[in-house]
Amino acid sequence: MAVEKMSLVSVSGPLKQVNKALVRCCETKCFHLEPNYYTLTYGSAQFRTLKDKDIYRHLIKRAEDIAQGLGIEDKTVAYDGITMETKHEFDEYFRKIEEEVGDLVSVKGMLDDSIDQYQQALRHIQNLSNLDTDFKDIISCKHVKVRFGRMPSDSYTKLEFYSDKDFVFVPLDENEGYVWGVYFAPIHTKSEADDIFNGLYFERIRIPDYVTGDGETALADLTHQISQLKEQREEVLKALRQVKEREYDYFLKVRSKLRFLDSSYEMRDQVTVINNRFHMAGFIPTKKLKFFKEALSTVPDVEVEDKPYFIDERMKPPTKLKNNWLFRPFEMFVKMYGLPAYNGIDPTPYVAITFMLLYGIMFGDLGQGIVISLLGFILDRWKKVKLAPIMMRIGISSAVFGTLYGSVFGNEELITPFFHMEPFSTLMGQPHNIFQASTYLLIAALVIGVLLIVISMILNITLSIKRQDYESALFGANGITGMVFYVAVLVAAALQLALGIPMFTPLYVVFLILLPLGIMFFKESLAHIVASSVRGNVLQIKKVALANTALRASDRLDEADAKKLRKQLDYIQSMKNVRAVYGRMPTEAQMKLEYHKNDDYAFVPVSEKDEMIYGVYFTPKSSKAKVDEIFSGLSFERLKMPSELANPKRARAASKQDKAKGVKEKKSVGNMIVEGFIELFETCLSYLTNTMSFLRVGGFILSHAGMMLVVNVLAGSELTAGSIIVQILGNLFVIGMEGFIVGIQVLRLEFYELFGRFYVSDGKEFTPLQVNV
Amino acid sequence: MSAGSSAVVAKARCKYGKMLTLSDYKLLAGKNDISYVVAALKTLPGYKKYFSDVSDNSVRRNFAEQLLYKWLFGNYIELCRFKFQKKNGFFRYLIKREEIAQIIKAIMYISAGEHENFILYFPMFLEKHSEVNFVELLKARTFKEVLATLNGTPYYKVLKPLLSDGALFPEIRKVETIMGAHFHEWLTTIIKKEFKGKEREEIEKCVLHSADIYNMKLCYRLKGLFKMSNEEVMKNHLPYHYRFSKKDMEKLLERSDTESVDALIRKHSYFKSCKGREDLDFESAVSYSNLNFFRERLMLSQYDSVALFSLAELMTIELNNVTTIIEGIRYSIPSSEIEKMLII
Repeated sequence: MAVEKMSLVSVSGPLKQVNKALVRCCETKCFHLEPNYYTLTYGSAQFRTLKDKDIYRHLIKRAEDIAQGLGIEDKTVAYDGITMETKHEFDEYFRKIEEEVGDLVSVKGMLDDSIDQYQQALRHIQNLSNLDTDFKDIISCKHVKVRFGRMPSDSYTKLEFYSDKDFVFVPLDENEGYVWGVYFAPIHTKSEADDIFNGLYFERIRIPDYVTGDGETALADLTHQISQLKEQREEVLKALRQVKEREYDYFLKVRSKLRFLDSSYEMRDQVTVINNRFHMAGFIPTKKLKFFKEALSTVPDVEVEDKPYFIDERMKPPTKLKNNWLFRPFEMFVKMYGLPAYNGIDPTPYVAITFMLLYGIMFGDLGQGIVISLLGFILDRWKKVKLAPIMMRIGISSAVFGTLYGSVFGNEELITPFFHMEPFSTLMGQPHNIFQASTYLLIAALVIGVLLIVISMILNITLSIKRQDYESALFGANGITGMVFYVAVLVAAALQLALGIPMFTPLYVVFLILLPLGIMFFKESLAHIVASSVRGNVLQIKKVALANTALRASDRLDEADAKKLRKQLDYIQSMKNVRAVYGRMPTEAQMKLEYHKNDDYAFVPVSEKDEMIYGVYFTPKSSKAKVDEIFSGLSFERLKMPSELANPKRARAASKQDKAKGVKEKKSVGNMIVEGFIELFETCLSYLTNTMSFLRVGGFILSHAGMMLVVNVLAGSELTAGSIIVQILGNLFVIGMEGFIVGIQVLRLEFYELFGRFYVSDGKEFTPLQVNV
Repeated sequence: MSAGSSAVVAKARCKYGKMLTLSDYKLLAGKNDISYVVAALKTLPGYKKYFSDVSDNSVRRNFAEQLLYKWLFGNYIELCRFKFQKKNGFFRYLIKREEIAQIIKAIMYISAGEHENFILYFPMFLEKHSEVNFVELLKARTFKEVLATLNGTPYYKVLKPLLSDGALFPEIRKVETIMGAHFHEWLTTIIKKEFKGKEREEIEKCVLHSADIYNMKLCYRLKGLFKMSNEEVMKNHLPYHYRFSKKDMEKLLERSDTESVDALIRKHSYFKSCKGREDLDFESAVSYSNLNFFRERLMLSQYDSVALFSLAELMTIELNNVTTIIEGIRYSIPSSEIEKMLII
């Protein structure tokens, strides 16, 4: 149950190396960047982020234009062997291609435009091809205005209402709800005719100059011209194809690299900059630390600093699950539910074992299990389906349990089932088939359920103590008290019912049933008492103002230093708006403070640990920027102020408030009783329902046997082609339907009955910096 | 319920599913030219079929509106094809509604000497579904000629009493009232003839709801806006009531000014869904109430008649919304203001 150990590292170097450093970080695929690290630890005042113009955008555009011109598809490939790094190198390469194909591409573009124009004219003329007069003759009429076009068929019907008007409309074709044609109007009534046709939604078509002859001739001419243009274009395309064949592989690689660089360049806005140096901080798996340092060492002047522990609770390390080959595919289910915290527990092995076990029990069949496994193997190799490796594993589990049940594709006569073997046969009353053993199966299912629930409770107790959640660990339904109650009731009931031993004696009932119930009833109050006593110990020592507390807490100052510091503090505190910043810096950096002794600040070292000084610096807000810069230069990392230093008075007040709240809560006895009773009732009910929920494990064994019985009855006892087909189809149906349902049911048991008892998913996923191209 | 019934209900709901969503309306209202609205409609599944052949650049407002009418009719008639229909049966409902609307419009335009505009805006596709000879009606120039073209249709009998020797054309309000009454009478009669049991009950509720809305609008307009006498209003109202009873109506007519009429109407249970929407004018509030009523009917009813009737009403509201958007863009109203005018 492990989570990959993480190390916090910082990468810094001169600003001119930031791109290379980012590219290397992406290439390592193990660097989880924390963009807010520096602003959280040092404050945001002195840092800036890089938001400059994207230098690769123009090159990308040129690459796309070339690709379009050459007809190269949008594909990203591995760019091994491409040494180009700088803008200039890419520019040079693209310029060479552009010089070679530039003219060809522009000629192709012109030809394409011409073809489009001619084709559009052709489409129009096709609808006017019934015209038996030369277009030129018609268009050149001096005393008659001519308009070619189309109007909706509905409008054409309305033309008969205008029979008294001075115009003639000649329909030439009708299609797609439009009538194509031409109208003629004397020049002096042109406006009236235009108005009427406008009102009838007539759409005018301009006949290009190059259209001559009657409809048929114009059509033939246009078709001929289009084919000529297409031939010319074909020649240009041939020349372009030759270039494409020559450059194809290399161009794809260059473009892929350019995209990679562009995307990594876009990540610059996550980098922090100060004094012309870039800084990045993030997490990497500790085992890859050496590899990461080696990878970054290829970038000149870039330093990688390993920060061995993380002290600031705001900087939560990401979670990367670490499991062996058997359990690894089941990480998918854990991720579905939510990742554990970095210092939490990885439940994957528990899920994997219980999932395989329960699936095998519920869907036990040697033949069908092997089929599921093979299917998983094929899907894994062929399609890389995430569920496939899980199918391989649960298929084997199903086959193992199928052997125990003696079931091979529903046939229960080929292998002797376990309930026909001694001592099971005698114990179970010599059942002939699995249905006769159903009572024992259901009891076994309940026992499995109880065991899994108890294991989950133990896990919850362990984890709650680790989290210091004493209410859950000691008094919760899944804590020690709940487990005592649950086990006591079950053991007593089982012994009394099965062996007739009278278990519910007054002593047993009072101490193992009623007392745990009572504790659960008052769990909130009890938890409050425990928590207060723990917090009380912590708060005992925090009773003075921050400066005094810091001074007093300091174990590094002699009397003279303390006096000097107090003077300095008095001076600063006499001013208005004094600011206090807590953090740490390397021990040797503190010596350098001497060089800045004339500035308005006072540094109070509080403690020292692992060559780092932890302390508070005070400064009036007017000198904030300057002092912040001094401390940043000394690698001072800002940390969250410990509450005992931040506000001892408030901490004391909070403690008092908590006490008062406790009194107040005690006063509302009615509420507490009603809430407690309802919660207790719900808890008891959930023990019962959650245990009964495991009956489905036994139920599915019977359901599987029942379904296969139906398949066998339908197939008949004689071996014919029909019976083989029925057997195959029946088995496929059972695998498909029942196999799927059992999977869902097991997952439900995992998430609802088991995970809900112990698992807290508050982790964040480890997402290494990488480029999506 | 017939065997094919549930399929028609499902198809109607499916068509409702393809109607415009809030984001579609926002998209349309955000355009700054009608051609962009048409281009956007071309991409929407419900409208694609009716707008695909139109060229975006040359399309005009009137044409776009005609295509919207075509969309409404096309969808309705598509669904009617799945029903075995009696001649002049209930499923002609939408055609009858539009026939009446166009006859009223014809009389209005012809009486105003604007028959050319009527020709231009008349949806010719109605001609092939209608029993009225609209081609002849478009040629009419007097009320007598209008009546002559309607001879042989039920409208002849309805409109004939309005022919008087004195005036060339009857008052348009009278035409509206008499045709409205005829439409509702036809609906209630046909429902009694064609449906029974629960289906009749449900479809009657829809029709009576429409009658209630008609009467409310009548009270608001005639009493509130035109200050007509109570007798005049009562003479014009439809004698069908559902939740807006005759008593409610008489109570309303006791009010004298528009504000008090409006205030009292809005207290009616029909406008429960408009609570907190004081910004809506009366006509919008009515449409809003219709929207909620018919949306609920379409979702809950198992009867094809109810589903079709509700769908037609909902599509009419959508048609009006898109028309509002087109008009809004034409008059350069900001998209946020257009959105406020929509019934959604």
